[in-house]
Amino acid sequence: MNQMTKNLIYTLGVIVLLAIPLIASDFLTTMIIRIMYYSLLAIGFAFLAGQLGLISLAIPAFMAVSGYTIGILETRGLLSFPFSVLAAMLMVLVIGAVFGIFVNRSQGIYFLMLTLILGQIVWAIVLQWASFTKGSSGIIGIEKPDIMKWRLGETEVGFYYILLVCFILIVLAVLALTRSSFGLKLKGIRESETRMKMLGYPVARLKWTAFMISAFISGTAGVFFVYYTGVMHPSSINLDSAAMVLIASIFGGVQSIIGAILGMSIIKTFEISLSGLTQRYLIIIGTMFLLVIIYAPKGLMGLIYKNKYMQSLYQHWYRGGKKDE
Amino acid sequence: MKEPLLRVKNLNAYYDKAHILQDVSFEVNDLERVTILGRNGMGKSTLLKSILGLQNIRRLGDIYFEKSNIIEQQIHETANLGIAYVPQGWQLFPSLSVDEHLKMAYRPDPSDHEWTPEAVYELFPEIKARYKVSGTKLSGGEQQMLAIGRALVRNPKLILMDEPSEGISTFVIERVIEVCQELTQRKIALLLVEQNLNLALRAAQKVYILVNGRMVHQATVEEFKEDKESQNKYLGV
Repeated sequence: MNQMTKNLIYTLGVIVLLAIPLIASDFLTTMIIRIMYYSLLAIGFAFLAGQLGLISLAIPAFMAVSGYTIGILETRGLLSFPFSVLAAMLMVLVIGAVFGIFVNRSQGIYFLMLTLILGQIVWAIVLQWASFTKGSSGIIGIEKPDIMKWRLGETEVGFYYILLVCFILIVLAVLALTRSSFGLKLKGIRESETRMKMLGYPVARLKWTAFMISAFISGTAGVFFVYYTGVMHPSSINLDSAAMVLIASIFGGVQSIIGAILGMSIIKTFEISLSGLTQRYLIIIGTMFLLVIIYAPKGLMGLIYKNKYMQSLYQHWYRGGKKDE
Repeated sequence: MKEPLLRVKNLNAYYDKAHILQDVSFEVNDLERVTILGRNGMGKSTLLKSILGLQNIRRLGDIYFEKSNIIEQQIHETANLGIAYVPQGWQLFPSLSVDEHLKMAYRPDPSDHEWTPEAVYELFPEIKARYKVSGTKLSGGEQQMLAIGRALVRNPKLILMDEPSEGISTFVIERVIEVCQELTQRKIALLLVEQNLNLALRAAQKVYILVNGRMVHQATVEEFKEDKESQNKYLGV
């Protein structure tokens, strides 16, 4: 496949995504919006899991930090868009930095346990500290900023386009990061921290930076989540959502960012379409997950990359065009 | 007299309660190639590891590198001062290719004797031909070359080399000796730990003998080559 056809396909893809709010039904648009912001969570997760081999269950906690910061600031009239978003992302970085110090020295199962605890602490705080976060009744009535209400003809497209641009930028940035020398260093750390120290790399600081990047990406998901739903509730950041991110990423293939997005898309599509048909939709998703784990332990993306053409695409995305032998 | 590049003074090292190195003192001068000989289990590898602070070795004593005491430093700080390590068993990264190894480890150095990944490929054309292959899928000899190359592109002042003759063919051993000899011209000192007497004596200029964690003998290579009695006594050759 030559460069021109490739460019043509990318352009077509972007055009389709751009046209969706104008031509597709509200239902489909809503679904794609939800897939995109949940995919941001999955990207935050897959970045850590793929590059460093660290399974983080604190991903929804950062969504909570940004979402709640915006909710509290705006409903109390302390700050408004865009300053509330800036404050929220700053808050995510601060909390990410602090959490990063706690989890920095741990690996494997200990990292998972620590992030589980930190995630649960955030959840417990937003649930218990009712005077500040409104507890179990949640914060409601968060308005989309005007720029997100921008209309094209009859349809409101501002939110969709802003999300789409952020989403594409983040995906491209993360793909570039995984190929950069920073990405190589993280891979080295995944395989052996001692070897990297021996080469003179400040392993702790690199891991900390990666953790902050993951937190930042998850934080952006919170911004879009809170503006789209208008509600911030403890149930949207509980352990279930951490499990959802984990399952979706493993489903798609945790080694790749595209896999995490694919996994989240499939899980969300099934969740939305099946939950209308039956209340037992989790059984179906669970069965699918089981099959993927048994027959494609590297996830759907692992299965797809076995195909020769896709293999070369994988090389292009993750290794900058070089091929393995 | 000029301060030595590396000066180890009364170094004691322990694995838990096992006292491995006992009051070890020795020096490596600028651009000097030094080998530490000794039989199995005498603490040679431990000595290299305790210079860097690798593994859970408890260290007491002083290690001066270019006048600063590095014993309290973190591993990566020590490494960045200009000490590179070629470990036993090479310790390469399975998920990185040959090229990625060199690119990742490369630390530019403005001097005219800089080692770049290209210079390493020139030195070892064998690994250039396999630059896309994963580091651990190479043959033993190629892995040794890559491990040495990875140390060179750090542009260090001192290379610590642990048993480079292990698991490689005689042909590659010859290559390793050549590279070691060339280090002096490229402004790098060498501290080599080796069981292969032939390699060690050809690669180095100064010999130290380690027996049961103690430095028992010191000589120049020329002296030691003639000194069959010491060879027999300490190494059982």
